Order: sequence, then C-alpha cells, then structure tokens
Amino acid sequence: MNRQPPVAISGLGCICAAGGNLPGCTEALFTRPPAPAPPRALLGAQHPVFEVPDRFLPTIGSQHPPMVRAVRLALTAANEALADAGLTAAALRQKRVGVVIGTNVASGVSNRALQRELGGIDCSGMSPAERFLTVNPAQWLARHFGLSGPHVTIVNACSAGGDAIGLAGTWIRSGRCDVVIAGGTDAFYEVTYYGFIALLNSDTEACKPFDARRNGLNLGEGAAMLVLESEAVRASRGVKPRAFLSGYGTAADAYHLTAPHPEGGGLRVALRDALAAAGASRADIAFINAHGTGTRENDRVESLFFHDLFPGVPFGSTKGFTGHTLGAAGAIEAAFTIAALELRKIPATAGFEVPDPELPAHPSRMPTAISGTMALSQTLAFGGNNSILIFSAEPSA
Amino acid sequence: MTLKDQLKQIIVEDLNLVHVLPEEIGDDDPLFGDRFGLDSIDAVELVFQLKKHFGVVIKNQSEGRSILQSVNTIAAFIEKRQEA
Amino acid sequence: MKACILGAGVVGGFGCGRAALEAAIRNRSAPEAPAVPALTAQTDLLDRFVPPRTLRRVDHYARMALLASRLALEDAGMDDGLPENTGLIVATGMGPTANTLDLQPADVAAADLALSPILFSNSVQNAAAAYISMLLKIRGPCLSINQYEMSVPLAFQTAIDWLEEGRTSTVLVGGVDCFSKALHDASLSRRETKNGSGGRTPAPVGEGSAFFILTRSDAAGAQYPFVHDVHMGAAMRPDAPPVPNTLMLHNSRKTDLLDHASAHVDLTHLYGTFPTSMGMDVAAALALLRTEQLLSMCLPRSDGGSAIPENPRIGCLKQGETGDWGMIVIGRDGR
Repeated sequence: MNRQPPVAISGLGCICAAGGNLPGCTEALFTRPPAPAPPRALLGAQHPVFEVPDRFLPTIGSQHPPMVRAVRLALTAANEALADAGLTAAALRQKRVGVVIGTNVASGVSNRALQRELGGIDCSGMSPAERFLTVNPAQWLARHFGLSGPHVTIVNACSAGGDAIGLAGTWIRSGRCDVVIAGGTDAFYEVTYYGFIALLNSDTEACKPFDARRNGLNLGEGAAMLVLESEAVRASRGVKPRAFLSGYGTAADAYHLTAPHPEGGGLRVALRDALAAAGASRADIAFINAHGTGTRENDRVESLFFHDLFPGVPFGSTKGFTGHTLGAAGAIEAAFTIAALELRKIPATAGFEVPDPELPAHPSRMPTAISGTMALSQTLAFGGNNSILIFSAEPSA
Repeated sequence: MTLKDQLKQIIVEDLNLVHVLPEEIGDDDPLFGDRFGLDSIDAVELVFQLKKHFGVVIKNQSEGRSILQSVNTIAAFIEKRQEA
Repeated sequence: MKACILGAGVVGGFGCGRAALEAAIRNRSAPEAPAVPALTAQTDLLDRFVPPRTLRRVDHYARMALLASRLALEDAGMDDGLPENTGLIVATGMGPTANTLDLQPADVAAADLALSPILFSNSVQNAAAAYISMLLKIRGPCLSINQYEMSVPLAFQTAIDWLEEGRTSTVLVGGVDCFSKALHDASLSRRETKNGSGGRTPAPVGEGSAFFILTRSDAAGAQYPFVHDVHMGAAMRPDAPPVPNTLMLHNSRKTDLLDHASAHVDLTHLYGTFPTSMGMDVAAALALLRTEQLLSMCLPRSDGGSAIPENPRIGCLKQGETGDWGMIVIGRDGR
C-alpha cells in the first residue's frame, strides 16, 4: 500500500442515544452518559439497549417509498452533515455526488419487522425490488437528494460504517466523485437483539468496556454521516475542512466466524495498510478510538494490541454512551474521533471502573487531554473483519 | 432412550456432526477440543438446544464452560435442575 | 490499467463449473422447467474440495458462494492457494434471504435465548464472505455489498479500484443469491402479468453464484481476458422499463454501448434471473470470447457476415427493476 493523498471532510452529522446531533452527542460524551434500558417494543425483554429517544428524530412527512427507521436515522445524520458542509440540495445536483452507507439490519429486514416499521402496512406482497427501495439506505438517500453518482450499501457487519468511509475516500481520490456522503446506520432490530443474547455476548447490565467485570455488549442504534470532498471542489467553495481522512486499512482474520483472532492477526495488517496510506508511523497517533464492545474476547484482543503497538497512547471506547450500533458504529466513532481531535481531549470510557488484571493496557476513567493531530479509529466485525481509519486535523502529518 | 443417549443425539444432529455417530461419544469424553472439533459457536448452540429441549438455562460463558465439558456433566446439570 | 481475469467459477441451475456453463450454452440446453419456476443449484461438489466436517454450519447460500469461489481458484490454476493479501468482494442482492426472511416469529419468541446462534450467525449479511475468507485463507480486505441488481457491477468496480490504488494485487470477486419464497412470489406475479398481457414468458427465477479472480494486467500475461470497463447509471426516469440481462457484442471504443451494439442475447434461460445474475452473464461472456463458435452462434453479426471482430468485446448489461443500470465490459485478451 502506497501513501495516498488525504481527503477533506467538510461536514459531520450524528444521531444516537447520546444525542440528536453531533454537538449534542459530544456534550454528552463529556458530561452525562445516557443509561441503557430494556427495549421499548419488546415486552419482558431484560437485556438493556441504547435506543434513540423519539424527541431526537425530526418530524418527517409521509414519504414514498415509505421510510424505515434505519433510513430515517441516516437521513437525519445526512441532513446535519450537508448543512455542516454548507452544501444545499441544489448544489449537490450540480456535482457528481456518491453515497456509501454501511448497515447491518437495514438491508435485510423480515416481513414482520418491515410491517411493524411501516405502521402495519401489509408487506407480504412487496416485491424484492420494492422491498429494496424501501430499506436500502444508499438508494434511498441517492433518490431523496436526486443524486446521479454511484451509491452502494456495505454490509460488513460491525465494521460496515468504517469500511463505507474508507471506500468513499477511494471514490474521491479516483476522481469518480466530487463529493461523497458516507457513513453508517442501524436501527434496533429484535432478531439482532435475540441473536446477541443467544451468542451469550449481551450484557444483562450496562456494558463495561475493558472492565474486569465486563460481560458482553449492549445493542444500540443510530447513524453518522461524513461529507468527503475533492480538493478541487473544496477549494472552489472556499470551505475549511473539519479534518482529513488520511488512511484506511482493512484485513480479514480468516480465523473464526464470531471470535477475533487472539493475536489480532487481521488488525495488524489493517494497521500496516492504514499507516502506509497515511504516510504516518505509530508515533504520530495521538489517541485511539477502540472498538471496545465490552465482550470478553474483543476487549482482550484490543488491549493486547494497544499494549504491544501503542504503549502509552491513550485509548477509549464510546460504546458505554451509544451501545454497539453495528453498521453505524464505525461511522459514529469516526465522527467522535474527529470531534475529539477538534476539542483536543477524549472522553472517559463510560462503564469502565475496575481495571482487568488480565489485560495489559487500560483506557482512562477520566477525560484525557491529547496532543498531536492524528487519531485512529478501529472496528472489529463478525466474520473476522478488521478496519482502521486514520483522521488528521492537518492535511499532512 | 436415556438422558445421555438423548444428549448425544442432540449433539450430533443439532450441531450437524457429519463425522461422528452418537454412540461414538463416550459419557466422559471432552466435547471441546480436537476429537469432535467443537468450538465456541457449538457451545452457544448447545446452550440454545438445551434450553429448547429441556428448558434449562445457562446464563453466561463461564457457567457454560463448566457445564458443557462432557455428556456426563451436562446430564448432571439437567438432572439437578429438574429435581429443583 | 486493465484487470485481468485469471479464473472463473460458477454454480447454477445448469450445473457447476465453467465447462458445464459452456456445454449449456452450446447445447442451448435449458434445464427442465421445474414445477416451482426456479432454477436451483446443487453444491455437492464442494465436498471434493473441503472436508464435510468443516462445512457443517455452512448453509446453502454460503455453500454456493464457497463452491463458485473454489472453482474459480481451480480454473486459475491456484489450487494451492491465493497470493498473500488477496482481497475478497461478495455481491448479493438479497443476502442470506432464506435465513433472514425465515427468522420469523416462530424462531424469535418474546423470551430471551430463543434464537439459534448458528441460524443467527448465518443470517448476518457478510456470512458468505466470512466462510470464504476462513476456508480459502483470504487475509486481505473483505467487503460485502448489497445493492440489489447493481451489486455485481459495484463489486467489479471496487475490485478494480483496489487493484489501481495498490490495496491488493489479487481480488476474488463475485455474486451470490439464493432462491427464496420472496423471489418465488415475485416470479409468479411477473409471470401472471406477462401472460395476461400476451407478453413473452420471462426466464424463470434462478439462484447461484459466480466468482472471478482478478489481478493487475501488468502482473499477468497478455493472454488473459480482462475487464475493460464498468459503467453504471441512475435511472433517468423512474418509469424506465427494465432491460433484462443482455450480452452485447460491440467493437467500439465508445462507451455508449446501447447505441453501438451489433448483436445481443439473453442467456438467463440457462441460469434464471436473480439480483446478481449479472455475474453469470460475465462468466457466459468469457465462454463466448474463448470459443469463436459459441460467439458467432450467440451473437451473430447483424449484417450476416461470419467474421469475428478482430478484438471482440462483450458488454453485460442490465437495467434493473429500480431503473438503475450497470454494464461490465469484457475483452478477449490483451494481445
């Protein structure tokens, strides 16, 4: 992997349990973590989740095709990111604008879930094409904004949001797009909820990333979108980027369906490629946004990885603020990573109180000031996918 | 069919062990490891199948590790729960 | 840069492997029309490559993708394994539908621990990529794409992007979809509509998988077929009529292929239609480019001439039900 030119990020949008927009989320990260609660729609279910409060969702009139929750979350975040970038709908139509969105559940919901989401409309007769138009977030946003550029939905499970942003960088650098709306979205879905419970990977209490008592994740929901721009478009608009996407690396463990490679096999390859693309070294990394789900295995592998390759570099997990938002996680945490670069501090790891003596590296229990202009965000997914994004405050390290 | 025979059948059929017959599993044989090739997904699937067939609940992975060692340890766990 | 195609593997209603597809094209032998209008695929051949015990959790959907991938390796002479850092891109239109749509109230009762972990794992959208990566030891970038009928051209485009930016030197890329009740119902309703209006009977619904091994042309010999280009466009009008899977011969450097096609053919009666059936079209195009007899049989020149164009290229076009269109253009060799 050769060094690649950084890609400007001119707008950010985010919605999750922590907040209805990125400033709201950022404030919550440093002041008041939300508490997870049993899912509203499932009577008797006990494992807590981080759902987006209805008051965070703007009212959107009736739509055709009808809008499922994951699309509504994606649209909310995209509207915020476009406004942040100063791009109007009219301006978008004059440019080659692509859409890349990662998701886990939005592209494959069952009749039952779809029916409930669409307010009881009978979905059994929906054709595959109609179903696709209703649930596919990339298609939905491309149509909604009248975009003619490429649009694709990435379904890389828990790393999908990060992979979407990585692919968006490629689309800008190759000249295929002037602007790309990239991110991830996922809504609460009962099959996933019961699936993680069945895998014994769901905590019965609030999740505790990297904590000695950690016992699984809490599911969350939300979306985040980034606006990436070519240098030519950015310069012609005269806007200052909020950050740059400097590197993206992704690699598979080829090890196990649900467990990460014990020595972080694919994670190390992803890091090598991300650093090479950024033209950076490990010493340039000011802090790391860990995947930190709160499962025994994930946090163990990440702690070993940090201890081995990033000794002394501050790291933390934000899953205690958002839950694990699956396909959205890589994007939400990309937005948090950029916000932390701007603020020059990272939040405490919510849920982390008792350091695990079996782990060699620990996150901070307090917000931590950081120096440096480059940060790394990583995701580890089902099937052994590992993806790493490197963001910088400056165009070069 | 005894409880242990029933367990062996569940292990072979629900985990789709195409290379093992139920009667080849000894009561004390370690279920996890090279011999039968079971792994962590089989462990959680067994937890699910035991709940489905016998209504017994294994709450977390560490509890599962001690209960799922062999057909004997699973049978003992089920019998204890059914007596309670 | 052109992306060379080192090998292809296919699994469909016609059988398994390149030779089976070529024979089906040659003999114009559409499989028997089944009672359920669907061309389903068999994957027993997979046992030849992988010990059955390692496949015990792999469902039909992932088995098709795994077998097509393994056949592509064999076709490329890479039985001993793929190069280090090979990438993987899996395109699917429906995902592991049989699972996802079957995960219905019976499986998900309102009680904790009510869902089979294996069933749940197999319903995750990147399950096929996960199994391929594990069993073929692919440790490079892995991507699963779900964009309905545009999934295959998007996957090819991404594979070329990865090769161009040096992310990887080799990519295993392909598509997979499995038959499901949703596809079946859609097929029935379409058939009824066409019969009622006196239109031609559409090809049956199918399922299957087609995978290809792509590498940079500067790393391979000039004798390999190559991906000349990938084009995609959004529907200009929402009511634009679908264009079925079409293979078109053209000998033009122009990319506006619709106006320059000299002949075209629809081969979906051999493998059925499904969201990622464009992968089958690409495999069929490779067969046509390999054998001039098949090429002149399937794509006769409109002027009646028998000469094969000097540098034949085939465009695989589909304008899907949503109006979006995509085309993958395959060239015969780089000589």
